[in-house]
Amino acid sequence: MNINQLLSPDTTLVCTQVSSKKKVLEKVSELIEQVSSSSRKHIFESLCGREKLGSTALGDGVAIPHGRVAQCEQVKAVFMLLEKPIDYDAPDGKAVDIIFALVVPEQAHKEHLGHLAQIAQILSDQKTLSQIRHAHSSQALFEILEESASKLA
Amino acid sequence: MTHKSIEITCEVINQKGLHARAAAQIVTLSNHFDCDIEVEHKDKIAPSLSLIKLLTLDAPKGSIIKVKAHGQQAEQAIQALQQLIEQGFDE
Repeated sequence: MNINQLLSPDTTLVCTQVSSKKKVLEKVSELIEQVSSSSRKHIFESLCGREKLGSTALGDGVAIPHGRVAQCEQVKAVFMLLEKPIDYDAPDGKAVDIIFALVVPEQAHKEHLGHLAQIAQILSDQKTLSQIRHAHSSQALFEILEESASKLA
Repeated sequence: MTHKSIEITCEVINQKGLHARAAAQIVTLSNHFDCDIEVEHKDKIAPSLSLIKLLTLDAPKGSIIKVKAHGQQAEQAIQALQQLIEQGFDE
């Protein structure tokens, strides 16, 4: 499944009011609750638990918070651009402003890796990162991601 | 000083495959050695210090991956990485 099929315009947004890692995870949990059968509490706990094992920041201002939720039947994603970069304990020390979050059913290992690979492929392209950072609306952000995802092999 | 190039193949044996935390362990371990390391799976290659590139490899359990090291500590690096991967990243 192509990664853009996990997103909807409702879960893709340019975010102005998120000022910490905790608030990012709260926002992600809230958005995913609206499009799934999982509660925001379970989602938040899972995402936080994963961050405690090691930051999901990948460097270059990108982070991929993710977690497994037992009640989750289908993979759900949130894509956010933060207007103000936040501290995210990144390996390169850079503040993070691009967030691609995934909530995954318990046992979907192979599928999960495939999604991570697609996200990494899209977000390791400097041109795409620059386009994302210049997106002024949630709709524009969604379109950039759709276009990048459609170019994946 | 001769710089060695070494290449090995190994199998990803842990249930979760080369997921984000496993990839992060490769980055951390590679940082200890004075050499350039690349990891290959199918048609993709990633420098072992780039977490995001390692994730593009898409290597689930059972994948055969290639690890190549070039430089002064290539031998030690390969040995350590082989152990890490073949022990399933201690999962």
